[in-house]
Parts: sequence; structure tokens; C-alpha cells
Amino acid sequence: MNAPNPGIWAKKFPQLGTGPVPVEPYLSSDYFERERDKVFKKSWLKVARVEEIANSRDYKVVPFEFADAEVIVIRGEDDQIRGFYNTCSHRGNKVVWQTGTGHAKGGGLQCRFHGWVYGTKGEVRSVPEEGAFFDLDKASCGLTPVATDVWEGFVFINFDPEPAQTLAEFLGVMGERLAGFPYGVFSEAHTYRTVLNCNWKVAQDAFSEAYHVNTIHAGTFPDGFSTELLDVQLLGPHHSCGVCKLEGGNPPPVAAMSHRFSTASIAKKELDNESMLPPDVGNDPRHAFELAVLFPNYLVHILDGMYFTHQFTPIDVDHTMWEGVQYFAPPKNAGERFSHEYGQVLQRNAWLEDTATMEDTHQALKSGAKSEMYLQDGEILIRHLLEVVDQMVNAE
Amino acid sequence: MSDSIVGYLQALDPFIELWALTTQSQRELQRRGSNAAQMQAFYDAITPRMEGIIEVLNRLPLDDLPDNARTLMNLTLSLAEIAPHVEFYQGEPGVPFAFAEERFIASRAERVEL
Repeated sequence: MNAPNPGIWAKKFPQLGTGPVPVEPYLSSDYFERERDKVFKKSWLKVARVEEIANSRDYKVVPFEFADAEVIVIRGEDDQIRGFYNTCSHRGNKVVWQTGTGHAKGGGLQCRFHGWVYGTKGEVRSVPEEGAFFDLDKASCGLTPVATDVWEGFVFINFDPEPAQTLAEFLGVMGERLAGFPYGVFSEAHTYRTVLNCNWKVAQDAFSEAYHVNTIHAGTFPDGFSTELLDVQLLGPHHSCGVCKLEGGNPPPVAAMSHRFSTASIAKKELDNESMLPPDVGNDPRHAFELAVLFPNYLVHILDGMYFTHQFTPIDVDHTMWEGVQYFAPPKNAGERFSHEYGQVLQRNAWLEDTATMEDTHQALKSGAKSEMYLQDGEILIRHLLEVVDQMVNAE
Repeated sequence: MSDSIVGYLQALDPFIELWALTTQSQRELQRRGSNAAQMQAFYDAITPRMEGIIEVLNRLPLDDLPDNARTLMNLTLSLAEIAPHVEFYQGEPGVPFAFAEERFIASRAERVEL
């Protein structure tokens, strides 16, 4: 099946070229170290949704193995969300011992090692046997802050102590383009995660094109999607496009039933509600969902009735933490509950199909058999990511 | 009677022990341990009744279902789990050509586990 408009994206974005791309950025430890220092330690990275830390003193601890760091994001009594390294000011122990979400008691976060207590602004509230220390200046003993900001209910951190751009500046036009979707309505998060034995870009690339749908998803989405991309947008380091549904097809009984009971499914072809999508997104009637990548590693897919995300956080050059989340509105009745379960299971199965390629790709590339890869026009987002990363990695 | 919760539970009684499971993890394990004939038998029994089942369940508050309605709801959720295997994967109990399912670590909204 040939794409209907050969070369359309190469013509629109000639600066990216059309030649093969090097394999080295996926395999080189030296390249990865520069990515870590110049991309991941300088960019805004998503850590949470505001619904996860909805109440005062709710917190979430997120590990970043590439930075040898854990970050605590906590909602203060003043409703501000702040971020800190999970490192006690006393002798450096982890203040919170478990990753994931939690709630601090009224006193604050207490380090279990010697009992130092921190408030939600990172300040030291109490030090056991304080009189036994020497000229302890508690005002300078707070938790080390990490730059933290919120966009549309997504909480981001930046390891750069003084980020070159605010989160809003960093997201720029992409942030404006995706703003206004009712993310907060879809408050039920269903998460899958795993460590993938591959470079983060091998994994992210596999979710950045639709060329694979006829092969990889022949099982779960027969007649579901076209390989064609709609309305590719390169917006600074970020990029976005529409993924296109195929017309027709005849869903089997249970698939059809799940579509009747609710609108929340990426496989549904007919929509019976007004579009929730922002004005610049999804205006083609074939639009199934928007595939938006917030540089460097956060994919946000919005459609009528739900949204889903992927994040590919590097551990080292050969390992990646993947997290995929499907967000639904709380079901109002049994039919919606069934429909959400069906849609969620089907998408999980599709992700099992997607992740099946990644470790094999990485392992086969490591053989050294190939020094270049070939990208077709519909793989323009991969080309763009490689170009943006390469510019940052090679910048002085 | 036949289109009441009790009626549906009587009709589906042979499947309650295996398929009226409360969490997606349990349903997934049950599906992976089943064969094509077992999934097909459950599918054939519940699918023609689904419209009626959802109609009676929709009259009840989802967050406060009585025990017998919850059992029926959980049966429908097992149908969601196995339907792709009957309708798309030719009765294969696992997802074909897929990543190792046991390596996907799931966490999900608490209220979803009825």
C-alpha cells in the first residue's frame, strides 16, 4: 500500500533531508553521556499529574537513574507544587524510602535515619538533639530544590538549577496547541511499566510512526489505522501529527458492543459527541488520535473520550524505563465500565505488540551489521528527534 | 426472571467460578491459563446476553453494586479480557507476537477494581 502523497513531509520540511541516518546515537556510550548531560539534565521532564497529588501534603517520589537522583514533588499547604531532591541535608540518606505517591503527616516529611523533619517548602522543621550540633544554621539546611512547573495539570521538573526557559517557554507553540483539552476530566489512570533492554530512542521511535500498523498490529487492530500521517507539525524541539483511521471495516460483536456503550476507544470509528479536541487538532475527519511528542521523551495522545501517554526515560545507553498510561473519565454506569475495560485491554495488547520489537531491534543493531538506517517519509518524526538531539549533543 | 440479575447468574452459573474475578490481573492470569475451547464456551454463553446484562446493571449505582450484580459485572469484565483472543487471535490464550506479558507491571485506579 503506497502512501497517497509521496514525499509530502520531506517537501514541507526540507531541512531534515531524506538520506539514511546513523545508528551510532542508539549505541554509543559516549553519545549517551552527552545526551544525559545536554538533553535530559537540561530539559523539562514530566513527573506527575496534579490528580496524583491532589491534596495538601500529597507527594510523589520519582526515580531518575540516569541522574542518580530521586525527585520528590509535593503539594504545599499553600497549594503550590514544589520539587526537591530526595536527599536528607544531614548525612544524605533518602528522606522518603519508597518511590510512588504518598501523603506527609501534619509535621512534614521525616527522614527515617535520624528523624529530621522537612516542611512542604523544603524547610527543616525539626532536628532531633539539635543542641548537640555545632552552630547549625537550619535556614540553610533545607532540601535541595529542583525546578518544578505545571502545564495543563502535568507536573514537570528540570535538573538544571536555573533552567534556560520556563516550562511555558520550553513548550511554546506546542503547549498552546495541546492546551484546553479536558485532561483533568480523565482522572482514572491505568498504568503499565517495564524496563526495556534497549536505547530510549529505539523505544520512542517505535511509537513515532504509523508505518508499522499493518504488520505489528495486524492482530489487535485489523483494518484499524492507515499508515498515513495527518498534519505533521515540527514545533521547536517538539512534534505532532494525526494518526489516521481507516474507513469501513466490520468490527466483531464484542468490539462493536464496547463502542456502543461508550465513546472512549481509539478503535472507535463513529463519534457521537462534540469534539473535545483543541481548535488546531484533529480537523481531518479521518483523524483517530493526535500523536504529540513533548521533547525529549513524553508522548501525549489525545482523542475524543480519553487520552494516553508514553514516557521513555533512559536508565543507561542500553536500558529504558517505559511507562504507558491510559486516562479515562470515571465510568458513570456498567456499560461505560465494560467499555473502558475492553478499550484498555485492547490498547494493552497493542502495546505488547509494540514493545515486542524493541529489544530485538537494539540487540540486532548492536551486532554492528549496520551503520545506517533508512527512513521513509512517514518516519519524519524519528528524523526530527535525531536531528534535535544531535544538535544539542554537539552544541558547545 | 430470565432477564433479571438472578436469571443471568443462573444462565452463566457454570462460568462464575472461573471468570467472576475482581481484578484485571486475575482475569489476565485466568485467560493466559485457558485454552481456546474454554474461552469460546464462555464467550458463546455471555455475548448474546450482554445487551440485556448491561441494561439491568445500568439501572444500579456502579459504585455501590449489590454482591450478585458485582458478580455479573465481573463476568462482563472477563469477557472484555478474552474477547480479543476469540475475535482477533484465533483462540490463542496469549497475545500473538508480543512482549512477555508478565513483564508488564500494572497499576491502576483503585475504584476500577470493583
